[in-house]
Amino acid sequence: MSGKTEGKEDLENVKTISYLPLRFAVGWMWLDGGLRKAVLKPAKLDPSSSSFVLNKVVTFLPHAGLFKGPLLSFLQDPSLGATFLAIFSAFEIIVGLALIFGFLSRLFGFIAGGMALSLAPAAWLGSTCEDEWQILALLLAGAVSIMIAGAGRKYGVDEILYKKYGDKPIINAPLLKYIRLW
Amino acid sequence: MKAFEAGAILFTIIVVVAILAIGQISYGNVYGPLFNDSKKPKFEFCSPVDAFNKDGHTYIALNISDVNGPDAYPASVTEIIIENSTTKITLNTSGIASSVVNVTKASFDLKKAVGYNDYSGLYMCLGTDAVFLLKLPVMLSPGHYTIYLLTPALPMKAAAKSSFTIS
Repeated sequence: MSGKTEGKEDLENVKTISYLPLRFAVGWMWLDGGLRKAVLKPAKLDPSSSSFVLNKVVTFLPHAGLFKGPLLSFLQDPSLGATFLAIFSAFEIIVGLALIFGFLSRLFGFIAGGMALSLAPAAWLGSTCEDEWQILALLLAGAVSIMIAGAGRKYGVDEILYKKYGDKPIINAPLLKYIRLW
Repeated sequence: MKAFEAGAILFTIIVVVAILAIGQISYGNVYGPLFNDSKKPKFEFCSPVDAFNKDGHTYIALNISDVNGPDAYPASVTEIIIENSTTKITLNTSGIASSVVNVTKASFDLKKAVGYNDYSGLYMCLGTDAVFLLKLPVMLSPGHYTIYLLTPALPMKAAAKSSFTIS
């Protein structure tokens, strides 16, 4: 009987551990994106620089559909765009680190999924293959898988939190009580 | 079914729908013919061509945008053809560059990746638009004309086409 329980527990552990490569890959994608802009080449966040990342957004416009209006408002007010980009870059770094280290992986998996969807206006770009759509699809699926699995519960900070505090809901309210913090 | 299982299925459905919907809108990769708008450049006229005669020359204002093609480098117009039943004028790259008297760039294009030179003719990055004012080397007779903007390696039928009237 205890052997069976132990076997089941091992299986659960293997399942959670198997998300480690995904946690690293998705986490590093976001961390790299943030570091490139905020640390490695800060000119990317400077509206007066030719490297300013918002310049790239111009290329999204022709087939951005519903997103065209909001994108134009960012482009026409570079300071607003720069502020948004600085906040987004900070989020990229925080989300990336959280996923890599398995900290609140359900919450940050959810946020990473939303950030992946923010690539939708650029999904049509990809002259040699379906670049942006593939990036979006894999980042979204990866983030949601991490969220569903609570992937930080093994070899992550969440493992410590889980052992110390047990299962904690985001908030003790209907429906939301089923969403775990880690 | 347990709550967490229902939640997992719900989020999986959201992921599947998002991937398929965005793929279909972007590339038609679920149903119907495939397409990829970021392969070949495509110039379009954003507004009707404004043309007038002044001081022995014809001026034409071309408000154009590159709406398709790769995002890594600019697209160019290397040949402009203006014709009607009796007249045909062709401007090559250097002819285009020497005809440009003013360029008004889009306010949203921070990089201002728009311009002209002897070897590219008119060029602009994907997504931006601009108004090029050209002073033609001739003065066109009053009448109705068709104008074509040609892009390298693309057939004539892919050229941006518009018309204008000189009164």
